Amino acid sequence: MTLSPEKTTHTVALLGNPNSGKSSVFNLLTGLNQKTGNFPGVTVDKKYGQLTLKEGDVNLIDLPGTYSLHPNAQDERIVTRIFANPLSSNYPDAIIYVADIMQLEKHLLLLTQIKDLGLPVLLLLNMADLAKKEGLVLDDDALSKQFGIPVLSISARENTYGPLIKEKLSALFQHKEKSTPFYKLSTKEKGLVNAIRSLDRTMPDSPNFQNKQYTDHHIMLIAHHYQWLPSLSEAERIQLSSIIKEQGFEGLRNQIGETMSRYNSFTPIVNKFVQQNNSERANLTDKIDNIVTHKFLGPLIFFGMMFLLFQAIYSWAGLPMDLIEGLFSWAGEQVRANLPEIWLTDLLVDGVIAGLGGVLVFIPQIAILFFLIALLEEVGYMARAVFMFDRLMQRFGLNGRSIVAFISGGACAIPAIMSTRTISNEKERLLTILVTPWISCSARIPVYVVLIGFVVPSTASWMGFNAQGMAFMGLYLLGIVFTLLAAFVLKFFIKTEDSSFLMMELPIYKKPMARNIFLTVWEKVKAFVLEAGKVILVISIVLWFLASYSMPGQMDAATEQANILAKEQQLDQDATDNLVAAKRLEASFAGKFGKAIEPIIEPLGYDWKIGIALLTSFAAREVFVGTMATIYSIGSEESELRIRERMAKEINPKTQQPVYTIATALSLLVFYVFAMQCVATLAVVRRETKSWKWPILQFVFMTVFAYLASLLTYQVLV
Amino acid sequence: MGTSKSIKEQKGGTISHFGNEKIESRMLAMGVLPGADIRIVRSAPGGGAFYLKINNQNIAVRSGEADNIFVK
Repeated sequence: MTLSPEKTTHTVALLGNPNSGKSSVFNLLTGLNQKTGNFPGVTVDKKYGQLTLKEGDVNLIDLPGTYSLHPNAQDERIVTRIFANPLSSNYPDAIIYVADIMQLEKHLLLLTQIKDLGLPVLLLLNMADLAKKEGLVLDDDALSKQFGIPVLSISARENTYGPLIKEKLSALFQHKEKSTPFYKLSTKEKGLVNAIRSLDRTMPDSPNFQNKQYTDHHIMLIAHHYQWLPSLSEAERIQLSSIIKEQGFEGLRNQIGETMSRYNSFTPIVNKFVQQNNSERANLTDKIDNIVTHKFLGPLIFFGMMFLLFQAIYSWAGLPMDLIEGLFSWAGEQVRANLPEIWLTDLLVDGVIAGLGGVLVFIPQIAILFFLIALLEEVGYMARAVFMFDRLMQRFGLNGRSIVAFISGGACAIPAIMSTRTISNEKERLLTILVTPWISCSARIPVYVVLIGFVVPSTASWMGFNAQGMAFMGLYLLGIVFTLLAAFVLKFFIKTEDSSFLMMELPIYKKPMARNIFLTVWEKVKAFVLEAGKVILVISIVLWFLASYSMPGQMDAATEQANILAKEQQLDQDATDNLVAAKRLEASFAGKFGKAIEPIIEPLGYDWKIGIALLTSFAAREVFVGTMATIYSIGSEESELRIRERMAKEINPKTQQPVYTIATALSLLVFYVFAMQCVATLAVVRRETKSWKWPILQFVFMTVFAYLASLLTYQVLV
Repeated sequence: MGTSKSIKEQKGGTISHFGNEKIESRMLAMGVLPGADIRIVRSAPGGGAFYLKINNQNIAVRSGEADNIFVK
């Protein structure tokens, strides 16, 4: 098969083992010109980018790193799905295959599998620069002759290779390949293929195995994986199952035999070209790992690094966050000053600009977090953390990688949940996604700061430590303990067919590539702004409407009432404005809602005003402080202390006691530790699990739990 | 295969075979074949997993997975 020159757009898939440097090649070829989308009909993200060659446009797709077309885990199945269905629109026209020169033997298994499917392949031998340093120079042409495919030695670190790869890709359009399969089917396998080909088609749109696009190797792939391949119907599965039984075909045994036979076919060729010694890089890796994965030092270093990472997120993000907030409040003021005082201006300032600011203010944290995590990932450290904590996490039904998500969750649940993609077992991944929002994130900090003041006096200390600081840490610990407990309980309810395994490469440490890190950060920030931003924006506009409007006439009546009251009390202009705002809020739809839910939240120790803050907090918890500011007619949220003073003076009209007793404040704190009050997180969970079921379940479970825990806290203390 | 023992007992040697087809399939895919030199470099903090050196690769396996790698 060759590429037809008539076609204007070709699909080329980038394929290779994990740690082959495949993503670096993708970044080298596409740069900022890359997108993330869905494979049509397949619920897995794909990364793709456009290339322009003289022969026409190429749509380059980055497939997940895989060892073999016989997958061992869920995330590797995507590759098998694509290659088992040559009639699908996802099926590539050609392959760029990336292999690590230094570990050529194992990187060639998948290449031979793909080659036998009859696809044109360009083989890129990556890390040629490092190989050269170690005295290993490969003769591309000689290897090309042996394999019957074009070969190019490259280093994905060097930009100069971009045009060279494109040139070779062009050559692939004219390339006539010699079709000598690496693996010849046995007579038994041939018989199975023929039996499958002669199957009656059950439905007009079911795959026609007689179609020439299906080679014998395609049919074998289907015979191995028919049980889960989504392109087959239930009827076809039954047919295939009975043929396979009839022929006495043992899938797994056969796969092993095939794999061994493939190694036998190419190992002699590889040995002719490369002699594999323990390289300098490998020796350095061993030295580093002696310390970094050490029984005692290893975990110590891990927690030390995570502590520093956490610190960096707080200390580096502060300034840019202030700048973004400043920019948005300035923009709001400018719009208000220059536009007439109509409802549209209010919507623009209080709804759209405030909402956008609420989204964008998290960019610094997300960018810093992803920068540091991408750095650890690039270097190759993450696999070590997984190795060290796999056992501990397994006890809670989780995976070694979950610990990374938990630490990220201390900044924000959104990037933390996105980082779980590296967990290949679906159950462990889902559990991690479900429990991560219980790790206290940065958005809870303003709420904690305001409320802890009511529980612990600022002058108190314990063993020389600031008592408020201790209470703060206590809230974080409460979150962590319940995160693990929740995982432990949930693991009995979630089923999976996936077998869980560790068996994982601990790759050689390498120098991080700036381009890869930059593109990762860019992609995550873009996804956050676009995906989660849309939801937050809609919610804040709705909330603005609910807090600004009421039934006809009622808002005006409230304004009038407040003005009269202000005159009686001889308030100055600012105080009058604040009182008007508070009365209007009470009369608004949101105020009505607060009043309506008051009976439900009263047992928790809250009044209707706290009810409104709870309502608005369900879009994002940090809204709490702002809402409190409006409700208690402070008018601005500049100083948290002023809000607290105001809250302290608040008297419950029924009991004539202060609203914010220790019991109420603690009950509120507990509520904010546990409740799912983040629309953005729910949106990301929906995106990552591709289903509404899990975010809804998560929302209900966390919120009901928060309610019960707060109820218990308040009732015990009162 | 009569004399072969699991890598956990033997600490090092040459891989003779695998005790479980699923593990064998995954190990083969990662380029770990019978005949490869293998040794345990260290166990994970708290146990439960092993850091293995197989030919020139470093590979982490769970204890139960190591039970199924036989060496001679």
